[in-house]
Amino acid sequence: LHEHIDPIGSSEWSSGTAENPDPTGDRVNASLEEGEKKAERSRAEKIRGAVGKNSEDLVDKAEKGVSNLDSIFGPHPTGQAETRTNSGPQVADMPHSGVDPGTAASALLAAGIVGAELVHRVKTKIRGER
Amino acid sequence: MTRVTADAMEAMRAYLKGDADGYRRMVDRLDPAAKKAHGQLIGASFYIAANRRFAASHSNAQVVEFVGDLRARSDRLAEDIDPRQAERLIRASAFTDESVDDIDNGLYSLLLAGLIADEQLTDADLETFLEEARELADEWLG
Repeated sequence: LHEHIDPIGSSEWSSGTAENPDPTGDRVNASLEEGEKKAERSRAEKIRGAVGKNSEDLVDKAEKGVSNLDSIFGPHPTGQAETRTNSGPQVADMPHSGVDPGTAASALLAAGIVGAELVHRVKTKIRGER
Repeated sequence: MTRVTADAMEAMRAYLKGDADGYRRMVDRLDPAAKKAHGQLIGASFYIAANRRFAASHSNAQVVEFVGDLRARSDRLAEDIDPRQAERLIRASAFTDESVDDIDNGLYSLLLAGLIADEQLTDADLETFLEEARELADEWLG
C-alpha cells in the first residue's frame, strides 16, 4: 500500500506499530484493573461474611416481608392524590350596605382637612377686614 | 458440602417473579440445610443485582433515588426499609468499603426484589440471572 501511494518514499513510512512502545500506560491500566478487582473481591467477601452468619435469618425475614412483593412488582403509585370533602354548594355572602370602619376613617380625615381649610380661610378674611 | 438445591432455586424464582404464595409454599418445604443455602442465594442474588445496577456509576445519588422510590411504593415498605441502612448496604456491595455488620437482614430480600422488578427481566434473562446467582452462592457455601 505504501509503495502504491508513495513509490519514492515508501521506505520511510512506518509500519504503524511503534518499535519500542512506552509500556507505562499499559502498566497503569493493569494496575487500576487489578486494584478494582481486589476491591470487588473484598466487597464480595464482606457480603459473603455477613450473609453467612445470618443466612437463616435472611430467609425468615424474606418470608416475613413477602407480602411486600405486590407493592414492589405491581404498578407504581403516581403520587399522592389530594382530595377534599364536598360540603355542599358554596354561596357567597351578599354584599353589605352601610359604612365600614375604613370608609368612616377616610370620611373623617377628608372632613378634617376641609374643616381646617375653612377655619384658615375665615381667619384670613377677618384679618383682611381689620 | 452444601449446595443450592433445586427447591431453593424454585423458591428464589417464585420470589423474583413476585409470587408471594408460591414463595411461602416453597420456603416451607426447605430443610435446614436447604434453608441455609437459600439464605446464601438471597445474599448472592442481591450482591449481583446491586453491582449490575450501581457498580459502574458509583453514584450515591442514584442509590438514594432507588431507595426513595422503593419506599414510596407502599406505607409498609416505607416502614420496613430504613433508608440509611438500605443505602449503606447497596453502596457497600457495589462501590464502598463500608461495614454491613449491623444491617437488618430483611433488607437483602426487599432491595433485591426492588432491583429485579425495575429490570423487568424476561423469563430467559431471569434464568440467566438465577444461574449466575446460584454459582456465586455455591462458591460462597464453599
